[in-house]
Amino acid sequence: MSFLVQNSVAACRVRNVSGSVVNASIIFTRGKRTKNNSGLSATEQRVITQLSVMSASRKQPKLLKLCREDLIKHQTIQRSWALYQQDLRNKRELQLKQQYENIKLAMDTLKNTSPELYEIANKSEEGRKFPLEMKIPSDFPAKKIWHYTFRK
Amino acid sequence: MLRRRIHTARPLLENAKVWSDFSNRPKSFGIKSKLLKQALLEGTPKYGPPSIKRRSNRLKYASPEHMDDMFKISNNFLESKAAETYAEIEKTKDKAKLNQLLIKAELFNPEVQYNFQFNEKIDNNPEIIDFDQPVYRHLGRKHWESYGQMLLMQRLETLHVIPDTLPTLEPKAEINIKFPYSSGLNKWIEPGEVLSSNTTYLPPVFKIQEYDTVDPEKQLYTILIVNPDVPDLENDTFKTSLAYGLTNLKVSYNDNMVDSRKFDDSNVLTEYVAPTPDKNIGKQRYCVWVFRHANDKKLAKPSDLDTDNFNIRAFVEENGLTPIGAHVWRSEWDSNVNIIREKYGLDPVRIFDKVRD
Amino acid sequence: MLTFRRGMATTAKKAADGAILSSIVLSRNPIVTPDLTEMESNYYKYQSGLERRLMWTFPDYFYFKKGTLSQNKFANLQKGPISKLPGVWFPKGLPDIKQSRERSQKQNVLLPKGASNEGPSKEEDLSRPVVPNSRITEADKKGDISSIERKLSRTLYLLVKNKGGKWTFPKFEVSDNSGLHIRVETGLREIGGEEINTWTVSRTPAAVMNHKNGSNEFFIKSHILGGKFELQDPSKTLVTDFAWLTKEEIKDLVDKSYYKGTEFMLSEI
Repeated sequence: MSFLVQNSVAACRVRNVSGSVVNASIIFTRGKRTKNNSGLSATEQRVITQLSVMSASRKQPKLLKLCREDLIKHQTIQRSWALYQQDLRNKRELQLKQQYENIKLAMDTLKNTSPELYEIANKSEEGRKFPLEMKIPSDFPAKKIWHYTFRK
Repeated sequence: MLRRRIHTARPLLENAKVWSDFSNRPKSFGIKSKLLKQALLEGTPKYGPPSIKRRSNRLKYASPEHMDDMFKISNNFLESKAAETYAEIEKTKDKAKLNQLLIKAELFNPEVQYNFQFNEKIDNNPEIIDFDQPVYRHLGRKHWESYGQMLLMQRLETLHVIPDTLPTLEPKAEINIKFPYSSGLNKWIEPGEVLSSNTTYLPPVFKIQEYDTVDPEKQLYTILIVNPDVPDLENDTFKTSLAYGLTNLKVSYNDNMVDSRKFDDSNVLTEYVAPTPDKNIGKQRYCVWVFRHANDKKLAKPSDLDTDNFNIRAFVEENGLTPIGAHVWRSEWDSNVNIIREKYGLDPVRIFDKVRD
Repeated sequence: MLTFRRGMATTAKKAADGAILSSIVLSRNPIVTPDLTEMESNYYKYQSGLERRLMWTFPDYFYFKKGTLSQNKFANLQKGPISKLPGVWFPKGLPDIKQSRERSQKQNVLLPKGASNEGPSKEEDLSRPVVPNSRITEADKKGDISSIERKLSRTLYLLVKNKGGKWTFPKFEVSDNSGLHIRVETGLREIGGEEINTWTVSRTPAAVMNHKNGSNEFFIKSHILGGKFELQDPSKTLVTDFAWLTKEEIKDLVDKSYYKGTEFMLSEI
């Protein structure tokens, strides 16, 4: 509202100075925002919007109240999931342990059978680079699944 | 498409219905109400969850999405795990291990959890919460440790029941006390509560809830109520009096209320003396101590029990008692004290003054 | 540099007593994410439902500027909540609306699709809808175990069949002291051709297997990154067949004792 008033004031001034009819197109441009409810500048408004995104005000849902059966069901689900994850974890740990023990066994055997090969196998591999060609899995395969041509 | 196979190493007993076949299981492992059981195990019916009583509230209620589908998978998973445990139980001979396995097999059973979480735990119905079963004892202990035990220890320490009566307490059993209905206060007493003399003029009943594995057929208990705040004017201090003493008591896991039906005169060390504090001496602590007897040995009644100047530490030492639980309430002078003193045939109350003669 | 010695491939030849053998566990890593079990997919579905029910109201004014075309598109797509009306009975409880969201229910934020699904989509049409490729390949349908494009969600391992008809990981006799990892790399190229890009994880062997005749077989882990394994002339290399197999398939194919000695190196995903 205040914007319109200001404009009309400006229009009056124009009339007073020139003494002729004011050019209306300056004030009533089509599509031009004429209302600024908050009276804030665009940057200030932007900061307020950004802050309001992070604030909980009026954005929180109603508390989820479960009936007795559903509470037990929820607990059962969470427990089974925890156990399931625990199983996976145990399995992975067991496999890692086995792998470690077998590397150790292999190196011990190699030391006894061929000290020269053991020396080579035990050399520091510092500075070796991870291959850039290795990819991480995606949800769906690419158009070209595998690159068959390879030249050194 | 190939499914990731998780259970290849240990085949789960997929269709083992160890939780659903009640031909060889205690009733307390199942939900009593058919409707509730159906709603829990087979999915919420169209008209809403039966645990909500009002129809309009049932209509308003909405379960989280996909809950029933996921619950069925979870339940089958846990049931197959329980079947593995039961297979292990059949091979196990060691008693302590067996107890652990019996807990493990039923702990995540949704029916057991429902029964325990939503039913009365102190005044338990053995058909719903059966403390003879290790799993309910385990749940009971966890529930007690989560609040009741901590509250009790806090009250014992702030009121200096320990170390004024006994040096310390390792709580093992849950003790609750209640005064007869005629006293007007029909509830379980919270540790440290201040009770009127009218409430406490009849002996309380005790509930000794054991969570440990004991032999209820042989294990004996002693209960003492001591009052460490009796003024000792000659020595300018306080002395301890024995307000009530019961011994050689037997309780079971479920039937563990110690009231007049449970004992006769032979069990009574000393008759109940109702709290009737003198005027202006402040609040007096009435400390309940429960002991286990060592090696199922009976306690012989001592002929020279000095109830007015009672040495609880010496008594416990002499008889080889192990404190397993305690409770405390406080009493102070009120206008009813004289009437109660008359009933018990005691001297009228003394009135102490702030200024010494 | 790798040195190649033709005619040294002793894959099928009986290893001499006390000889050192070097085997390569060549794996093709999964190309797509693992398939979910029934439990996992259902749990994720349940949890995402809960999350949508418990999330804060979506601040659309942050993502869509007021008065723009995209804001209009977005706003038109949303199904608004039913608002409270005087004198109307709501059996599911009175609507509780804040920021045009029903607070007691889960929030469904619908996003406008970038492209219309109507009409033929051309390669050059940039706004054509994205259609993901199938996770099941031609090789899966044909059951071609020699293709590297099978079972994209699993780790595959290269196994070869020797003249005796036994399936094993490719193994080579070590006759000089250039190193176990060098021997498997040269050996692999002897039986599979030069056009193969591999990356050996370490010089250190991952396992050892003691054979009855006193020979020791060491396993070196390696990944194939590109190129292809092409069977060379079997009369020279003594390798008659090869396959890319998952852990379970390897179990069915190889000897029991051989599987037991290598099983822990193989991934289940």
